[in-house]
Amino acid sequence: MVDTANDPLGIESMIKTWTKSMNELMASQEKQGDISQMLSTFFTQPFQSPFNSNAFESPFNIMFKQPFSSDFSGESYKNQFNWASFLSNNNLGGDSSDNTTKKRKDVMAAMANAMKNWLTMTNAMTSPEFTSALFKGAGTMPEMLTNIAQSTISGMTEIHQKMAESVIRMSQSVQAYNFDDIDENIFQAWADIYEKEFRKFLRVPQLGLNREYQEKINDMVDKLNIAQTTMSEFMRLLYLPFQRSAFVMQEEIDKIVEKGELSEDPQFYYQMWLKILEGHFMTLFQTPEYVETLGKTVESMSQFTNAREKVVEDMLKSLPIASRSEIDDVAKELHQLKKEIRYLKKNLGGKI
Amino acid sequence: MTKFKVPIDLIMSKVASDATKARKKATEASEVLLSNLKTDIAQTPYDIVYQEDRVKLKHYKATRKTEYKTPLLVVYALINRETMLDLQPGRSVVERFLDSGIDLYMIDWGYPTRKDRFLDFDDHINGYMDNIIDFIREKNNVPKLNLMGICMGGAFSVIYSALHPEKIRNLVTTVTPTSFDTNKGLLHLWMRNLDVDAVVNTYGNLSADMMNFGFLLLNPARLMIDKYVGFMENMDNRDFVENFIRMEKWIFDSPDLPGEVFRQFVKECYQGNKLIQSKLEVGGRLVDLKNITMPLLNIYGKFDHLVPPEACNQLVKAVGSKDTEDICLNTGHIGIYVSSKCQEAFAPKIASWLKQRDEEPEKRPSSLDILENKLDRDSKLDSKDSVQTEKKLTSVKAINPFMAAQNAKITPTNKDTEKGKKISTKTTSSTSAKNIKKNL
Repeated sequence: MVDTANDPLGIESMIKTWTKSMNELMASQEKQGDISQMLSTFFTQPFQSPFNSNAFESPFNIMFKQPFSSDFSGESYKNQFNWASFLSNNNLGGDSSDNTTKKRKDVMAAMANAMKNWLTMTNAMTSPEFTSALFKGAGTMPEMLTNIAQSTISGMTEIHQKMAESVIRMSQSVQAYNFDDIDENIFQAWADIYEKEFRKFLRVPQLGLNREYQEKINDMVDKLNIAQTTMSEFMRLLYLPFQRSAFVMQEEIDKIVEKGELSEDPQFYYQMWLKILEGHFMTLFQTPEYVETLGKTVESMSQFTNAREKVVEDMLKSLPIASRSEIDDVAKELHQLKKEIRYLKKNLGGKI
Repeated sequence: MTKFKVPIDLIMSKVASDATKARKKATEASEVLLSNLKTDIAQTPYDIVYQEDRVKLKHYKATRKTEYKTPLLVVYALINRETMLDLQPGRSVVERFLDSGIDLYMIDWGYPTRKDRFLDFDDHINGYMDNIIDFIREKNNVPKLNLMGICMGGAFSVIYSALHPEKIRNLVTTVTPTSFDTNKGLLHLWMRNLDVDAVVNTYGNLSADMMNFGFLLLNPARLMIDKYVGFMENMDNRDFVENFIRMEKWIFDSPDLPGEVFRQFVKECYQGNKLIQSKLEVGGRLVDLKNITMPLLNIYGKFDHLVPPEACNQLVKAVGSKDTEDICLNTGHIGIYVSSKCQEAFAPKIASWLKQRDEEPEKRPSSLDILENKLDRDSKLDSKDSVQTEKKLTSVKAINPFMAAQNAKITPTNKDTEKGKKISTKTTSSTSAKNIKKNL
């Protein structure tokens, strides 16, 4: 009877019934001691479905008992699909009858071994531990998807929150010629989220023949993400002087308006803006934040380029093209040789 | 308080008037830009007299009789090209040197490729430079050369002179960084935090585009915005456009920098500051600046944002030479060579300085000897007159500080004046004529 509470789909029950019937079948055939008979019976009997259901039984019966509709030549193919009779009637290369019998027995023995292996595997699969693990694994799929969705959504929410906070802070006050309070939270937040939530997927150990290649591709993607983040941060720093200059310009124009000295010449405003902008850039470029970000950007771009070169070199291996590292090796050897020749020449007074 | 009324009507009227002018200017500018512009650079004739790998030696054709016994070799930096010294007729350091009668050679470092990434200081200084100097010595049958270095080429020249002092008669360094322990230049600040190994190991050579972007970032407001606004405003001026294009050609005609040179320059110089401390090693040999005993002329720009005065003015104190001179000009890194104002002060000064030191010290006509003869004739001078003699001696030293230093153990620490053109000589020993004679 199917336990609908613990086995709602009836899969566990199905496998058990199937295994039981197979065991019984094997036991009865082994008693008779004729394995070829067993196989013959197995394949010619109506398929004993473990589900006792017409829905499953009919297709299997049709498959094994209907004439094989094929255009292949050979009488056996046109008859009922019966492996045992096919094997027993086929001449198998037209050998003598003794050889034929021997070969037939070998084939039968091999098939019997395969069948036993299959039964062993089926038994193992129907063990309670395996089925439980299988269903637990299946059960964790939705949970995993939920976790990924949750972390992504929470990450995006955090970024939006930081952005909103950043915008609020930016609009609250802007201090001219001062970059001490550079707001890097948004980039730091993204870097943290990437580090915690996304990077680990690219670092999952790779297996098999292509593991080395896949690992290099993952590394390249990882380095690209980091390089893009640092580059965005760097570009944002370069944008800051423009932003702050605009605010200072507003203040300066207000002062001029108050004094009643507003100029009609656009050049006047351009020159004023340019001086303010230049001042802001000069101040920014000397801040430790800028120097640090510049260093990080150069480093991350170098790392990405390095990772990309490795992937490209792998691709080049399949083409008749020398890779860059191979050329570098040659150049290095050449350089060393030239250096040695130079020293020899100097020491021998240019006689070589 | 009365609120000031913004004269919107006047501003709009001005804008409309400017728009009309702009349309007229655009029409004229298109005529200029579509015409045949003369924008060639490096037009002074020369021969390539030596070549090794990518490196060539230019020998400029004399425009008048050579008046110097010692040829001059100019060593440019590996960053950008030596064509900057010969941008156009009338604004050319090369032309001025030739007009002074100097036998002029210049190294063209060429365009390093990937295969040159492993070439370091040793290959450039003890390799290419030394081979070239030996070639010129042999060709001209002279034991020594005058050496003039520019920027990084100046640092190379300093290193070469310390390693091979027997081959150099006089050393001229221009905008040459030798002391890197300063926060004045942005490059110094940035290079200190650069992971140079990551860059060189990845890219091999430092690409010209990366360098140019770095240089533009030194002053984006001026170099990326105002410069081109200025161009737009003067597009209808043919001379301006031609000069502007020449400069653009030079700025963006940039070879890559060999990776190992860049690594060494950043690590040993910018980060380690080893050159000025005589701790730098090149080709397994220590670069001891005290070996620089030949006369040294050191010129730099007061407003140089790439190599600030603080990076240049320590050299004269560090070398072993007693004949040294520092000149600080009121200009920037490039202005020294191309601005018409500096053209008057720069090349003629070097030419005259070299002329005074064109021979071995022992062969030079000593101004002091001439003065001594005069002193002998006036041996009956009384104490009153000796004061006058002292003044005359000082003036001789000012004319020829080398002679004064050599003969009278004087250390001339020529300090530039505010304008950088006037030179004063400070003496540290007794200026009495009798004492000087004793020291001979």
